[in-house]
Amino acid sequence: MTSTFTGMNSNQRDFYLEAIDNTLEKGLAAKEVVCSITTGFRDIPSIRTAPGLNPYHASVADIGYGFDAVRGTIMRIHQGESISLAKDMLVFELDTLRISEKQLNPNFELAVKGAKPDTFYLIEQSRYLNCQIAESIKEAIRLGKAFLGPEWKISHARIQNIQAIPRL
Amino acid sequence: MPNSQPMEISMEDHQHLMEWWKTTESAKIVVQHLISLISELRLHPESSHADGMVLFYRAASEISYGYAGTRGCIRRAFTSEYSYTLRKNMVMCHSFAHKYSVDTKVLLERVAKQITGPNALQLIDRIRGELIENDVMLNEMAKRAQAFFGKEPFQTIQMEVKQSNTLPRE
Repeated sequence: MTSTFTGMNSNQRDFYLEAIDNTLEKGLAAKEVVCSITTGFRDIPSIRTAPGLNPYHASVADIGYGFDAVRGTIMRIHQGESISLAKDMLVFELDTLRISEKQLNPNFELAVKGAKPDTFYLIEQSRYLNCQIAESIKEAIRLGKAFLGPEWKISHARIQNIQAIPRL
Repeated sequence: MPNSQPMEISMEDHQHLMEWWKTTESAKIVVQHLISLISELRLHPESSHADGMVLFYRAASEISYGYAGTRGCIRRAFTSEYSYTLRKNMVMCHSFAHKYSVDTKVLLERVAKQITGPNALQLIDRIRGELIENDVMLNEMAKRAQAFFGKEPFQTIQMEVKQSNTLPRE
């Protein structure tokens, strides 16, 4: 087990962790409104049982989970906790966000294919917010890679076994 | 949709909504902590193999989703989008967080049964603690929701939400 972030001065560490946290904070409102709208879809007759809605919901929930996981881990580090798996956790969650983000649009478009015009404003809003979410995820990953340098790949190789476990 | 006619929010309800929002700010911290601990458990060599882990973390992701959705609804309620449909949406999100908190607790104990390593056991204990905190937050949020909707309207919407996910009797 390695200590939390070896070979890195704490200023550099704090700079990157804060930058990642701020980036996700920026996507927070979008994430929250998307979760709200997605739940509302369960009450709209033309969407509630549409193909794609369950995987879309799962991707949205996974993104919500990923945001909370990364921000929670950063919070724990700031509180002085030493987490031996911190690097792997950050890489794992950011990598999962990357995967969920890629699944978001195809599943969304499938889910809303048969939607009626009175729901179009919710659909437009979701599309717009999903773009914002995607941007903050991409930026957080860019920062994560800049932060960990070559260690990103090492952690990434290590978490593959967990990433490969089938999800529901 | 006929129920999406904009509704007015009184000054008093506005205040209740703000109170509800503030409670979600504290709840957010608890959930972030909880989810980070769950991530650690999923990756920890002493626990990553445990049966039930996928169901467990999926249930937890729905807590996160329910909280986020509630906050998203409150954000929307402050705009011209406030309507009967949105009121129901708010209750749906809240009940989601509530429902999956129960699942998460049940599944945690199933996962815990297979774990013997001391570090993972310590994580399990911390997760248990966070889930207790989470229950406290859910209660607080339910109180705020009830203050906002009024006791009876809140129960009526809750009943309606329940019915829309249940097969009719007979």
